[in-house]
Amino acid sequence: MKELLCLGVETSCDETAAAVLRGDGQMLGSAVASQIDLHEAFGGVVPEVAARRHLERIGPVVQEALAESGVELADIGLVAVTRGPGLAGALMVGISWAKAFAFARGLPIVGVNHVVAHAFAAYLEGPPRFPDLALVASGGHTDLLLMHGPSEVEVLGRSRDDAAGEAFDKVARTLGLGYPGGPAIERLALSGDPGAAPLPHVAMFPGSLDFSFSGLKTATQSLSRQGLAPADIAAAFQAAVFDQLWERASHALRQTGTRRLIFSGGVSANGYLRLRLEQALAGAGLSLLVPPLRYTTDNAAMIARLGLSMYEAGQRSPWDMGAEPVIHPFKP
Amino acid sequence: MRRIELDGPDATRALGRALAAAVQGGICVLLRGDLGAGKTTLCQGFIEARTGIAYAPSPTFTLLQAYPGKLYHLDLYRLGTADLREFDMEEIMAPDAVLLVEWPERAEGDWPAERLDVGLSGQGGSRLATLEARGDAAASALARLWWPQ
Repeated sequence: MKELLCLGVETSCDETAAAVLRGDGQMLGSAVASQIDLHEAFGGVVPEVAARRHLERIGPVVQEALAESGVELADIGLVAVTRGPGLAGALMVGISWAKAFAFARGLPIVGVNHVVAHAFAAYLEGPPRFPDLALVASGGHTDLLLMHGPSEVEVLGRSRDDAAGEAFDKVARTLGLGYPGGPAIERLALSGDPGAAPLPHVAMFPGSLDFSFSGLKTATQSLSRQGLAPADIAAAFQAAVFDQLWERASHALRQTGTRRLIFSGGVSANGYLRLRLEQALAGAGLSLLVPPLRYTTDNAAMIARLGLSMYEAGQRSPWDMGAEPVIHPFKP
Repeated sequence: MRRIELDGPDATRALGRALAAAVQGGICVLLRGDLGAGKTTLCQGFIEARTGIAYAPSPTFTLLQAYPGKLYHLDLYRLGTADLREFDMEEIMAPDAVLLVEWPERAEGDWPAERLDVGLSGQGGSRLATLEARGDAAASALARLWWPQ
């Protein structure tokens, strides 16, 4: 029997992406067109411009993913698409394209949650296993998720203010570094001494696994004004982010009895955080599962991965599926 | 213009709640201040008072968050300069909608006549909030703002 091929489509924010995943979980090809060059000209993401650009790029990006996969559009048997959270206009481009394609070909379609998909990016590295605990940290999200299955996801904690990746970007700006802030801080921190720049410990909120990064952002500004070396501040900030992530995650691991932690989203590309988490988990006899580096930031491989799991669990989305720009409270 | 001393994040949040009680539909609240000045904290207080959602996420990444009761939270930080026509202004600036804006400097000159300009300044624990109304409805909202001095 021919193996099922799932086409993933992602247009929630800056990246137009498509990918083909085989039914056995093997990635065949993935294409991402970033709009960063375009937005630099405008100085940021402009919603309508982003949507128009997604519209221009979606076709070529799908073709690129198919070419890399060595398959034809006619071979696709399942369509997975991001339905939220994200920018409304941007999401609608991907959803409309995916619906039109699926409808014309008579294929099943599955709308997926972008944040849960980030967690599922780790399953491109190792097979799904439930329950599983995931820490998704990106520019827009810092969520601690207990996943009982592809559609049964519990939010154990989330940021009460800034997302972790947002804090990296804003601290980078304070230190006079470029965008994106994550890689710039990681590089600078290599030559810094975290002990030389005292940052406050962000205590756990009573009875909660929520995060908070706004105070760290403010504290680094104060250190910067005092004239401390940017490298020391960067190192201290990174260490403080690790402390906070690990404190919440280790509590969650104990509470849930899960034996491993998934760390994904753009912030998980940070080598320092990966290493510290791996060491801390190993010390507790637990393991870390991270996505392949290219699937930490926005991509469609993770969309296909979650869509395939949802399909296997019997999920299908109706033809009147719309975009859900703000998923609040959280819905998988 | 009203000047209000804030002795920490809790007071900043409380000012947001007080503003939520005073501001009616059709008014745009523009928040200015450096990174870490407390703009999002003030908005969180406002949003909590209106919707019961205690920890509204920072909209820096999503640009715009919509809440029940036609309450919108816009953050233009990521934009160098913004053209507001790129947003659905009919919706977010409807006569019965309330719009909270962080980093309004990115789209200076585009803001409606009825608005409250809120400035946050200061470092460390204490902050100074300055509130200035433009337009009659905004002026009466500012007059209604109850704050123990």
